[in-house]
Amino acid sequence: MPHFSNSVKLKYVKLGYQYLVNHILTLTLIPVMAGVLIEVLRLGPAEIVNLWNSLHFDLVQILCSCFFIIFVATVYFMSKPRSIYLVDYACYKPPVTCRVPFATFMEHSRLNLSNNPKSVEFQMRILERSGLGEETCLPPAIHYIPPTPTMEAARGEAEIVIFSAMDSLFKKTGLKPKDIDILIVNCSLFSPTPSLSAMVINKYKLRSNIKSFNLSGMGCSAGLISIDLARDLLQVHPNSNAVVVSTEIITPNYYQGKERAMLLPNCLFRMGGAAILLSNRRSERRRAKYRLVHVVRTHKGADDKAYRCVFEEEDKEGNVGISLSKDLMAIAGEALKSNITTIGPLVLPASEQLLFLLTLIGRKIFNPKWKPYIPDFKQAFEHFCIHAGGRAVIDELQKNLQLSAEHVEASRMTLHRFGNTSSSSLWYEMSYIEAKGRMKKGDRVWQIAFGSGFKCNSAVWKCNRTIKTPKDGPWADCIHRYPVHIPEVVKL
Amino acid sequence: MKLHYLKAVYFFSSHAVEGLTVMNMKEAMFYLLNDYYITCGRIKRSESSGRPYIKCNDCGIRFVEGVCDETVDEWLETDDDSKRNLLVYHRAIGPELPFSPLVYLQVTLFKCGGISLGLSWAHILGDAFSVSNFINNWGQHMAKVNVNSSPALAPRSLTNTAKPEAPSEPLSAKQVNHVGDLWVLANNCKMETFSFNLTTKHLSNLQAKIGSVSAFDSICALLWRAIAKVREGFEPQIITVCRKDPCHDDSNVLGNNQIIRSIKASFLVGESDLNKLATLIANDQDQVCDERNKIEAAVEKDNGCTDYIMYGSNLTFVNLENAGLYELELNGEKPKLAYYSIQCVGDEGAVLIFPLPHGSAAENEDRSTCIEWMTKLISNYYKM
Repeated sequence: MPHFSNSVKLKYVKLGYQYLVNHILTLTLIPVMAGVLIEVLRLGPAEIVNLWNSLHFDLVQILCSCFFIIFVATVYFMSKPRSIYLVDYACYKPPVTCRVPFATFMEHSRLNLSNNPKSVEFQMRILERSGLGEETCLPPAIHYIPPTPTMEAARGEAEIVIFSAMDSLFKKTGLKPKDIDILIVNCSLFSPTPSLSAMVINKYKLRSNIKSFNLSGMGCSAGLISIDLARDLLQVHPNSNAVVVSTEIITPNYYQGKERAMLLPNCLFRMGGAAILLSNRRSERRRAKYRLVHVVRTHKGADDKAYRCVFEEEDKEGNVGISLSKDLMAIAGEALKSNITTIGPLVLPASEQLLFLLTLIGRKIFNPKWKPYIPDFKQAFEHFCIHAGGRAVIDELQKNLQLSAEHVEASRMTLHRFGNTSSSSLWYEMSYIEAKGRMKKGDRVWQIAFGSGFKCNSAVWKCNRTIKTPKDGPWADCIHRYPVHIPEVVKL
Repeated sequence: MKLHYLKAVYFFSSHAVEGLTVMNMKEAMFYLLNDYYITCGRIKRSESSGRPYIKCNDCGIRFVEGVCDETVDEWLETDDDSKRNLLVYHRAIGPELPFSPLVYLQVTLFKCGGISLGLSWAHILGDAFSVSNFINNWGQHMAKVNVNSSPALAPRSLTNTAKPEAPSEPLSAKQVNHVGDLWVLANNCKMETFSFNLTTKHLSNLQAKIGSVSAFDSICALLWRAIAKVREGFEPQIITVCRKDPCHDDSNVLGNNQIIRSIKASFLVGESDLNKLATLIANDQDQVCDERNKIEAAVEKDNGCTDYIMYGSNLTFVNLENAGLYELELNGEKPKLAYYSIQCVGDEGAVLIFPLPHGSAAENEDRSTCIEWMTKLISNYYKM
């Protein structure tokens, strides 16, 4: 009993403290205004009129002050960064014919790796603990035994994924292809000539003075890097639309060898893609879904271990694959800490920042044994979209940020339904939150993505209007089944 | 039934598959398999008893794509058994039971644009009538895929309900040695497949000789006597006859529901009168010689741990006349040719009797029957 009452008391103390510190300005302003009002009332109206007359105003002074005020206001409005709005986005939904249930994956694995039963065993163990469901999809070329990853098949996959997502985006937003001013496509592992952005321009007959960019090789966090790039471009170009396409093409990158460290991506990466429309036009302010608040990018490439932890290389037999090192989680944790250190002051309320500062000072000066204070990010955000890189990543972040199961639900369910779709997984997660009807006006969303290099990128969005549950979208037909309980180990 | 496999081949002209791609076929198959999910399962052995069962884990059927540099017509001219095996990708179940598909479907594209569909089907899933239903339903899905409406009725798999009072050993099924995890039958002699066509003229001649029995019964009698004559001294006294159960005429049934009867002749078959034989076969239709319950009881006796064979334990005749072989339609066209065969037959051999398509050229008659039969090759006695 004493424990309970203690914890309840502590809760109220904490709440009181937070309210006090977060609203300190309001709380100091109210007494001041009250004081002024009392003084005014005390003086009486006649006194005030006398006070006003004693101030000798002449024309020049008035004009100068007005001019000065207008000047300051203009400078302020001109130097304010443009608001970037996310008008809408569309996620690619793969057809059922590309579905890969566990049993199918294992059977193909067994047939493709017929000489290496140990590797097959390993893959089975990974799949059991992966957190993936039975509806994740692989492109048609990978369904062959053995897979047929030709360039034509890879282009085919790129066309299906990107064009479907873009058609869906055009339908949702009513955007005309000729109105696209900036196009950014990011796909890490497939980079043909001409680029995927050229492929999009060709298909939709976009304008000849379009500013197009193609980002490749930047890993799973490339989606947020593209958003960052779009934001910078939209600062420079007024009244523009930017379309960002994030995808990962699986066909050419399916590892065909037997090294265990390289078989892991085969088990996790799946087909997916998203197209996002960003704009800085004032006319979009009403119907935009979100407003971009911050983008924070952290790169740990300077550290050798971080640089090599996700590395594409050839194995002994000459098969190319992506090798994941054993200290991936530790490095991810470090990168996240770095990112939090930058984003914390930007988003955390004053109460949390004060506590953090005090604990920091205390640890430095008084007693290094004090536990470091982990700021409570749940105060700063209503929704979290953690890149669905794998079950371990989500578990690690849930532990580090002290999030509840509901906060990471979007990430876990996206991993279950779509697998690791690389840079587009954040958009599937956003779509999940919207489909569940949890996105209200004013909600703040934190998207975190990790990528090879090693990078940790964050984006903060603020919801512009309450979003009704969409009738289409990747979750439309299955949202009623979610959330599902994902067991620790699925018995195959 | 676990050691038997059914193979079915359908030929289509280029006109029938105009505008259809492999992806269309796969898509239609996806919707079909939502209902026939049992065919997508894999065999697993139960932890406690070791008895195999089908785990419906959505593993799928194996799809094989092939290319042929002959045209359909060229192929059909020189058709024989060894060539036909190329059109059906077949693998026995095992030795790795959880990774052995129960159904294989091969689509072979010919030079003229026509295709052949080769289906390899594990008999544990169902009999030839179920296979025909399966394929016909797929054809319907192919037509609907373009129209986008809801899938066909889900099939029900039926099991026999009545148990016999005094279970005795069935005559139509025979025990064999344990096959372990590789479900293949070891024959004691070399097996070969022959097929020949009977035209309507042949059939009417035959019926004129024999009397008022059905075409199937007269063909059975003819072949029984012929084989008995060839195998003097070892003539088959008991035959097994399989036909469709008229009670289950529903078109959506999946399972081993064919009537299996054993017919015993108490006289010398080789010298007997055709009429007598045919009447024996026909009359048994009314008697309760249906051995399905007996077979089931025998297998259940030791909990499914012994292995049995049915086809070929005696000389077996299978009546596929009303199996609906030509109900499959692609783009509204029926197949040019459809034939079925059984893989893994016991030493006594099996005969399948099924119709040829309307309008196939055979001595200016418009209906004929094709007989495919596998028989024992006795090195001393063979002469055919």
